[in-house]
Amino acid sequence: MSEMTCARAQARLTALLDAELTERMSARLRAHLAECADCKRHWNELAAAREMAQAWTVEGGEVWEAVRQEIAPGDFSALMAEMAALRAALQDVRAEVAALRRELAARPAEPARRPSAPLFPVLPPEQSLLRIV
Amino acid sequence: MEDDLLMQKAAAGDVEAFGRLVRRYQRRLVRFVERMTGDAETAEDAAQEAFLRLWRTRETYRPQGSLSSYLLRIVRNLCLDHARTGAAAARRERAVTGASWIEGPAAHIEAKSLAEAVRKAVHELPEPQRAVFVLSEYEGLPYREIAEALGCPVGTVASRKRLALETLRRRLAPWREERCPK
Repeated sequence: MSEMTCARAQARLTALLDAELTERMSARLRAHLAECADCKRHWNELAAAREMAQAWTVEGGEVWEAVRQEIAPGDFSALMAEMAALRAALQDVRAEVAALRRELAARPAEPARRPSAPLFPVLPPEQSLLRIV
Repeated sequence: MEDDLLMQKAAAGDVEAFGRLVRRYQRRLVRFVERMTGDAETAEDAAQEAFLRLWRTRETYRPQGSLSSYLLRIVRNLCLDHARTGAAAARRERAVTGASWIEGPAAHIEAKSLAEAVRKAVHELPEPQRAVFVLSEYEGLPYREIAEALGCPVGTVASRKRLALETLRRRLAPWREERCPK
């Protein structure tokens, strides 16, 4: 097995960080890092650079709606037509409701109700059931 | 459902199956292009174009590797076209205005934050290194998949990644010292 020099070790540090080395090579490199302060410092600096790189975030937008409109214009047109029909129907309903409101507002106020006759009329004393009992 | 099966359905005209594929990969493509070009609008346009090309060729599409790699290859080529047209426009601008040089959106940004410093450092990497760095660090792809997407050997991916990370190590040294003073 050839000796792991610093130059050879440092050329493989990035691949070690990315877990792209064989187990055997990783073990050799880690053994070298345990003994070599220079390579260990280099390793720490690369690891810090990787960590700092994560500070730059990008959300990434969505494009499916735009793609769908291009590839299925028929479907899209049908959907739009359905929406237009629903919108027209809704406007008809709104117009009907508004007309009813106007009609209601134009009606003369109804006269106040007279008090209705009592359900059980008060009988004269001679006809009262209480008296019979 | 696997990509290949969804592509078979898409080839038969199933728009919803194709939609599942688009939704699966759209964010990755947009993020990749935005990081490569520094422009969110270009990123969405490129991703849209890649999916439209896939749709137009869905009946003849034969997978040679993963669908993700295929789509990344398309958007990467669109990025290269974008850079070429941008460079041509910059040359024309120089001829007209006499400006000494014009750079992309990331130029002249004084790095006021770590995120800006990283963005600037990544943007200034040579394009082949930038592509590898972005796919490896931000999309978490293994070297083999990056090689497939960029059409180069795995060893080339490894050496580009090493050079890119070494550049960032040097460029971000002031920030490292600020975060971890000796």
